[in-house]
Amino acid sequence: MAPYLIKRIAGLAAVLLVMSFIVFCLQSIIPADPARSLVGPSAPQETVERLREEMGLNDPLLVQYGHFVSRLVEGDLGTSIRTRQPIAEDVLRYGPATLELILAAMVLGTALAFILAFAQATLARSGAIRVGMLTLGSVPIFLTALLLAYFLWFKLGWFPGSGRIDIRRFSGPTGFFVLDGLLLGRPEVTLGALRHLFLPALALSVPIAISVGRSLSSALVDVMRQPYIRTARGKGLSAGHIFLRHGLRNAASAPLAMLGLQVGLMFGNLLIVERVFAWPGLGLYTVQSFATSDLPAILGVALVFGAFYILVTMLVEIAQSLADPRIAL
Amino acid sequence: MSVSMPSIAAPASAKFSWLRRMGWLERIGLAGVIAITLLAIFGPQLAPFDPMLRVADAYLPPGLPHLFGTDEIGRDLFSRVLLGIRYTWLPGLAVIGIALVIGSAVGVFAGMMGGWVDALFQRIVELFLVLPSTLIAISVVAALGPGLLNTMIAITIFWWPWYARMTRDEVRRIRSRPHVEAARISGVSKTRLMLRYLLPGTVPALLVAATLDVANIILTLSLMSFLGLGLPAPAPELGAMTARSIDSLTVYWWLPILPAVVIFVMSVCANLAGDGVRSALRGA
Amino acid sequence: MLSIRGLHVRLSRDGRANTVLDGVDLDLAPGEVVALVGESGSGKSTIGLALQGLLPAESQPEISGSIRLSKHEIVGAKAGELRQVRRDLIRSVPQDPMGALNPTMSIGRQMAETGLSPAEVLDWLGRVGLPDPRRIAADMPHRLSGGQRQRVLIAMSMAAKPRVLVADEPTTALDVTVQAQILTLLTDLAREQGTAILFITHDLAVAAELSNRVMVLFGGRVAELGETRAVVKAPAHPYAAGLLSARFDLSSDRGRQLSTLSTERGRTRIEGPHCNYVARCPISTPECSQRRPDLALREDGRRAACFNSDKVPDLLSSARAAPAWPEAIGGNANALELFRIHKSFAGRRKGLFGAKARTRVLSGVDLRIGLGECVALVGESGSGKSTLLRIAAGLVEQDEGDVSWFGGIPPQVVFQDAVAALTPWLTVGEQIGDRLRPLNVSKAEQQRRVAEALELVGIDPALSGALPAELSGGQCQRVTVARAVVVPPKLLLCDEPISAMDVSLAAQTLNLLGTLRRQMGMGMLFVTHDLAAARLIADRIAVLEKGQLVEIGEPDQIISDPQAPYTRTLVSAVPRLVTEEASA
Repeated sequence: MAPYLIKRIAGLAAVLLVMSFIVFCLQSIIPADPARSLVGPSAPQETVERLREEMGLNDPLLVQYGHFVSRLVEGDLGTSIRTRQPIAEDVLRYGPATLELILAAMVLGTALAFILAFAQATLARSGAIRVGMLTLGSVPIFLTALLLAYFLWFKLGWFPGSGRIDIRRFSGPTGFFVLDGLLLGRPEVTLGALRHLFLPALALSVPIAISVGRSLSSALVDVMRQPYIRTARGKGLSAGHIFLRHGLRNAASAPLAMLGLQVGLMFGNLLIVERVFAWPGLGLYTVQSFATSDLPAILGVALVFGAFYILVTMLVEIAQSLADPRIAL
Repeated sequence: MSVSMPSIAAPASAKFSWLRRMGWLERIGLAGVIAITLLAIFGPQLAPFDPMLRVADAYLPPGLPHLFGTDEIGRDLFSRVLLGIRYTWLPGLAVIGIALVIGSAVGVFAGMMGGWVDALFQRIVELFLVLPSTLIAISVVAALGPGLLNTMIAITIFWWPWYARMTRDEVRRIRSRPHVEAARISGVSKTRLMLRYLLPGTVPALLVAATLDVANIILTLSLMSFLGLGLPAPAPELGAMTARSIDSLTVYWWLPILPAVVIFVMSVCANLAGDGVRSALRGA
Repeated sequence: MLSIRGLHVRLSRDGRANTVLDGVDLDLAPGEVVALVGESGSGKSTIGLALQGLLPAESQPEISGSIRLSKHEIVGAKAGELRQVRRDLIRSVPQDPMGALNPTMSIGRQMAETGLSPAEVLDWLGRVGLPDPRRIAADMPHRLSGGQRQRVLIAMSMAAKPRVLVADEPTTALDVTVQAQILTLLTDLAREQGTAILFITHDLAVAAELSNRVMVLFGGRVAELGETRAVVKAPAHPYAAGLLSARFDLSSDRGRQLSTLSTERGRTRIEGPHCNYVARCPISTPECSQRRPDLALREDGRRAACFNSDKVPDLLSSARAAPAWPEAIGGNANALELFRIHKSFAGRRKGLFGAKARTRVLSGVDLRIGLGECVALVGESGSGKSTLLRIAAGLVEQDEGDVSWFGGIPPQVVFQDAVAALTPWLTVGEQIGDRLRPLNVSKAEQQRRVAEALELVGIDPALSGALPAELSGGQCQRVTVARAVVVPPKLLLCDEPISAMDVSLAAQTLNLLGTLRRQMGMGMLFVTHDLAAARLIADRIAVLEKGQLVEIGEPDQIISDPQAPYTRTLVSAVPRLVTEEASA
């Protein structure tokens, strides 16, 4: 276990370094002069030059990259052009909302994946379910979001269609409103937060449910054909017992990997879902940064997301090794 | 070895036997893919109105003669969507094609070389696969500046490693099979070994993956377009059309919904056709 | 106690339903051992699965007839009743122990699933001869060897004290030296508990050693049923006679080829109102293709489904006069010289920075094979015999030592899995013809020589346009041989070419290889784990143990007077047909 962690953390550092390098390269190929864009077009040329010197923009690229990395290590992601705030502060402000949404989508997606996989494994019309999953998997995320908003919010009014909460200027200790409501002893906050969470989380969870569900059902089909399942049946065990004790655990590895991969693919969808449901998180922040070509903000958020994804990949690997003793860490 | 079961499977003598292995839904998907490709090529000629000009009142609901209604300045939505199919479908096919060429070339090279070349290649591909691809693609386009070409480049950069890995794994798998070893012992020359004994085996897996990926590419491209990273404003890109009219959802639902539905139809057809190709090749 | 009547099973494969069992009757008394003998595809495994109600659902089984065990009717039983029957009355031991245990559950928990107490689990693990039951019970299956896993599976089944045990080739996946121990364990436990065994095997000798009665199956029908001793002594069905005559053991005649009674397998028509063996039968009469023979009771108490069973004894005696081997052309030169071959492979890295452990596979092997001579290399899995062959073929680089071929001409190889050794998308003719490309012969000349080579191995040259998938496994093996000899090599390396074959096919292959190497004056290295085959095909036998040659010499000398202890275990592990020896 210990050597595994060392190895993984080294890997994590390497991947982060590569990501930071990509981000750095992207930053330096912008045609506009960052110093000029900071002081405005009317400032005299020598002010710009002085600022360039101060910002280290005249140093060799490698030195600039070194500065960039050392600032990153200190938690400095640069300053947003749009909000004029340090990006790290913006991330801390909008991060909890996004994390809450991602976690809700993963829980919901996994639950739906189980339902789909079981339906496919047990129901007679498994072909219809397969086609249904294929169809659902072909829906562009903004169509899902728009349809959910149109029907469940606008037409039926079952769920709120925008924002995180109805109360104005609410803030809690953790920033996770569902949790904050419980901590502060205000169940109406938790309930309201959950109601607001439902539609965006559902929209985000559909792609997760489809791909994890597919992977789970094909893994289950494969596992249930293994000789050890025949051994278990030969012992006269009940079908439910065989499925839970012998089938599920052996089928866990591939769907877990797929869940991790989906987190990586989720970020694009996150931007859209937060945009459609006006969810005040990092996705919306990024979309707004697109509108104002706020590249430092976009890249800063990308770096944070990237680090988060690598962390998730690591957790997935640990979960896989817990499920299957043959996968040594 | 199934010695006792002389394979009675009919040899592939029957014409179109591959078509017969598909279900009817899969055949519809295949027909849809062909129809969409034709529409993408000839769509603008078929458009009943000029997609770029005001031809009627604004915000007409779907009906006749404007099948999909009109937009905020009175342009015919149906004609715009027809043109939009071209801007989504053809770039999608192009990205797949280019990624396939790069990926399979790199994969074959790494798989054939083995040793440190292969090891180095695997590390590089792993790096690509472990990075959150959509996110970086979006960042790349944001940095390079929005535009269809930049979007295509960014997606291709993150798409080819999948094919490279798949080709490399297939090459390694087939290479380790006894029949390649047997051919090598028979004294078959290196180039002939690769072209006749190895590469034909990698085609089915790649073909299936590529057709199934068309739908993914369509969705990714339209996602980028939705985020405003595709063609600039007046161009009728499907994702962008939805994005621009999203706030009129509750009043003029057809403006955001119908372009998105067309994307959905393209994606379903591509997915069904991909499944069809898989079933067709399974028996071959 | 167990009674099968008119069992009829149809299974679907790729959407086509095939009759797999066609009217099988069998009774089993308590404590009795009945052997089910037949080639793969004869339906013998299907009987075992049907008994437990475990026919795979994806092949949409259609079952008719009756299987009664105690007071239960298994055909058409409800799921609950079936579960009870499986738990208490009928258990099984699988063919491949490697996949038959759940890899993510400890041995102890898998044993305890059917209600054994922890103490009983430990007791049973001890009874099947596993050392340190406490450790094994806590272990995960992947840490156990194949033999140990099979013992666990036997313990798991016998702990339920079942009335019937279905043992489906329980030793084929194990090393020869372990096979005998597992069989003894199985029969001893069954005798103690009065469990009847249905023993499924393709080897008549194993059946003869263990069983009271034997049932010979062909194409889903019972060909012959009777006392094992009587059937082995004088079979009454030509298929059983064919199995018997093609069988070889340590007492077979080395001077002549093996007798093969069945003709080259055509397409066997299984279903229909005719004898299903007719396509392969050497004594068939017109009647055989018009009527299906009953499983007639004969005066000696045996049953055989043959109209002409009175002709079978003549058939057997004619088989004894198989042709002798052709004269070998040879020479004094060596076809292959291996000099002090060393080889080790890198294993897993120990710790984060530790050196990779290296596993020694071969340490200092010397071997010479003359032109026209055949040396058989025997040893169990892991002994390094395949690695040595691959080094001799130039497929693997040795760490130390020298390999030299006669005239520097690279050798040809016949692989174990012939189907996998042919490229699926190229025709047979193209693949054989590719051997001729370096010679720059004309297209017509190439075609002529391909046809010649095909004829030499007994395949219709018209098949040169066929893809491998259109050929049977036996035909594929002949094609690989044709490819090897179309340009006659000086050295032919054979990697377990018969290990996956039925007896008659194995005998045909041995005859083919033995004839060709003599006629063409090739040196031959024949790698096998089967000492009986080694003795028949080879001029000398080399025994490999843990990467070292422990013994080399004339076959009969090695077998009658083995020097190394390891050779002795190998010799004693070869099953013999006791009855036949007594009568001969």
